[in-house]
Amino acid sequence: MPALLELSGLSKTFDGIRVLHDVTFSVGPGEILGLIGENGSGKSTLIKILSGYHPADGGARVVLGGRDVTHSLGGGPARTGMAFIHQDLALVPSMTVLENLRIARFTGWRVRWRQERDRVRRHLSQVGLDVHPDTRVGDLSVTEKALVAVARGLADIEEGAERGHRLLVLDEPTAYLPHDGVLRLFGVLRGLAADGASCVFVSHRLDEVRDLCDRVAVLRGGELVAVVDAAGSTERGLLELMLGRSAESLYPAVEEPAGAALLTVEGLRGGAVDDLSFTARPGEIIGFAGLPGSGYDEVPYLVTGAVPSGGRIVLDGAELPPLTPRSAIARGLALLPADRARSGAAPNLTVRENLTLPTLSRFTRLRWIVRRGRERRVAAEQSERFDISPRRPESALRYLSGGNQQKVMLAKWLLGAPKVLALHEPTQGVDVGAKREIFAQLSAAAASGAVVLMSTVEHEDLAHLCARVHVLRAGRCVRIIEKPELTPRRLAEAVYAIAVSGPSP
Amino acid sequence: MKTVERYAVLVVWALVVAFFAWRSDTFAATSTVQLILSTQTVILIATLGVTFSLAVQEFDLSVGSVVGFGGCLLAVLDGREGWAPGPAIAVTLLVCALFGAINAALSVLAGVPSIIVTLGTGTLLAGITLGVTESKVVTGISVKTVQFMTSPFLFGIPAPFYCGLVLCLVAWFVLQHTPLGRRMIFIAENREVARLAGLRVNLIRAGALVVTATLSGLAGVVLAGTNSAANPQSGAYYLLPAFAAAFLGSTTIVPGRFNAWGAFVAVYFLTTGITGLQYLGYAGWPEQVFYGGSLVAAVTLSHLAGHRRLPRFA
Repeated sequence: MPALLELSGLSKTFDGIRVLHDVTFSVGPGEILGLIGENGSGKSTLIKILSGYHPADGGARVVLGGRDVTHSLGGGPARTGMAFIHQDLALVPSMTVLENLRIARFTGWRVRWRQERDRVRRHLSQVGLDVHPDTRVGDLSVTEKALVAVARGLADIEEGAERGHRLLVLDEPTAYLPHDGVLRLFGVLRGLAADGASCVFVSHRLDEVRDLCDRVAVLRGGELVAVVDAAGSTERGLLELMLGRSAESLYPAVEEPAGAALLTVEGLRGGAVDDLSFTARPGEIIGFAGLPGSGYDEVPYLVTGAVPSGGRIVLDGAELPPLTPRSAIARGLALLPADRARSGAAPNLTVRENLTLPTLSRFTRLRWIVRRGRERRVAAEQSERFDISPRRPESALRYLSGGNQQKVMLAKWLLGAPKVLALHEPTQGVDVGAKREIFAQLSAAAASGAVVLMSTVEHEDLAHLCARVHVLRAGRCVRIIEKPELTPRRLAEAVYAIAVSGPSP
Repeated sequence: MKTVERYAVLVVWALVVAFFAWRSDTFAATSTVQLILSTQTVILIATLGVTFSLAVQEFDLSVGSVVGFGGCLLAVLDGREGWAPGPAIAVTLLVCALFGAINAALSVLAGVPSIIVTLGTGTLLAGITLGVTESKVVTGISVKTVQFMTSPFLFGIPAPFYCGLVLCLVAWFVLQHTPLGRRMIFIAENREVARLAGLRVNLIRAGALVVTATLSGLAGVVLAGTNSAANPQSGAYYLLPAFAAAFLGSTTIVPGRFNAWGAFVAVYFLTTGITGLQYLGYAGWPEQVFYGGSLVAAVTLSHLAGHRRLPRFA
């Protein structure tokens, strides 16, 4: 059977720097091909060439269903038979499902709403989504939104004349999905593949890639280094292909903490958290896990006053009054939020300015004059220490890759030497190298006597780093797993088993 | 590239000066410099005022009304009521600052966008100004005040210009060299990031609105003092030029940020062009064409040159 998509000789040069070099591979009908690589390996460039955002260098050929589409890339899904689903989904939350699917495709002088609704229902049923077409997208769960985006991709392709040529390109669609959402999305994708549609699936998560894909293409430094069968691969093997060397352990050795409790939290309330108590000794990394809605992901915000909370927080033997971000920082509690764009970083300002924001008053003379020389020096030191690349503290933060931006965020808070560092998804959308660096810094912070609190869906990370993990359900801690028993598998079992045995919604 | 962008307006300014010096026999003279520097202090001060609130991403549309109101209040206190100049000016500024505090309370505490709040309060204040003055020009400002505002102080230029210059220095220092200035930039960029970094976001936003109103009041004081009378309708004329100069200023010296010397350069660049056109015998419509044209050209070019150098407004 001929391949559905054939890429050959794909190269791309920016300002004389070759970011993609002679990439050649194919995707068969009904095949799900994984595409992996570190940040900067050329993954995004490859996707952007396919979507027509960048033109490829000369000599490239893209054949889709036997037709050479090299020069009509970017002509839209209907013409090329390719639909793209990006991480941010590109849906308009204030509009309905129907409008999101059909807004650019209404034809004729009036909208035939009933016909449109029927059409949209059909597309929704393809992805197994049972919502009314007039539901506002903003009212859907993240998982449902992702499925709406997939449905829109399919609908767009169907507009085209040549049915049967269907290729979905999914660019890290799972980054914001809860675990059950990932499973549901994968189910839908497998169904579509069985029906003859092909997928290119880009992800940072090697376990997902192995689970979902038939074959995996690995990019490193702009070159395609291997295309391997997913079934015969191991995560370690894929990691080695990505990094080009045998993978060092991602996780640093964690030291045994000692001493009396530094942080005691009793009866914490707020958001979905109902009643949570825990203590932490200096040097301990404490994890919080659970299903979406259990409140595990709100703990960092509640402890640091970013979201108003109730309950008792005792730090260093003194009970804290109700906190605001300002008073929390003054007392040594720092927060690294998950949503970098909305609440973490100012991308248009420089790396230096971002780094020194919370600690700016330490870089002053007579309280009122910024000592820029000293600020520059510390920014340079911090860039060095956290291996932030490019090492140019005066460039705007937005020019850095996601992983390096995240390192800047962590460096910014550690500059204040916090007693308690609360993190929410600290490695979301971050490549393996940056991940290792972030973990090393977290463990160094803990080793110097800080308490680290971490809420994440990455059970693997929690299992390796934490002294213990609190598993939440309905705002309460239902299980604490301590060091010797702490494995990703036990953790996942605790998170999901509880959901199974509980009353079904 | 960066340097070109920084000084582009200065270079164009020099070209404009050279052009008028070539075309007009009388343009290149000390008296022209004195004229340009003496007459634009009101706009300079109002522009600095606008710059402070724009720097934290707040739009204060009541600036024009406050200029008009400040002038009339000074005229009433100093002229009609016969107060001494000092107390009259101090009370005028205080009342304008209070007005700014009302803007701040409504937009920061109540959370209504400042552009809407100040549109309303500005219109309200303009109406009150008309009512109190019965829509008539208030005259009788004391000779002492008028003399201070108009008689040459240094190099044949009256004192208010130097006052504006000092304000520029202060604004430059605050915006560029203090932690406060840096924090203002972060508040403009992303309020939530600033809040989570422990900044007193609301206090700083409120403070900026109060400073804007106070400086607008000062601009009104200078306006009335210079003219020895206050026209209750004059304020409206100052709103758009102040915004135009502030935006033009944000494309130069420190491109992409509202900055004091940028504002200074913008005000006097625009004035130079208009004065030059007057020397060539054009008056009326060419002024506005030059004003508007320069603003659009500078802002567009700077937007195209830099990737995103313009302050954005949600």
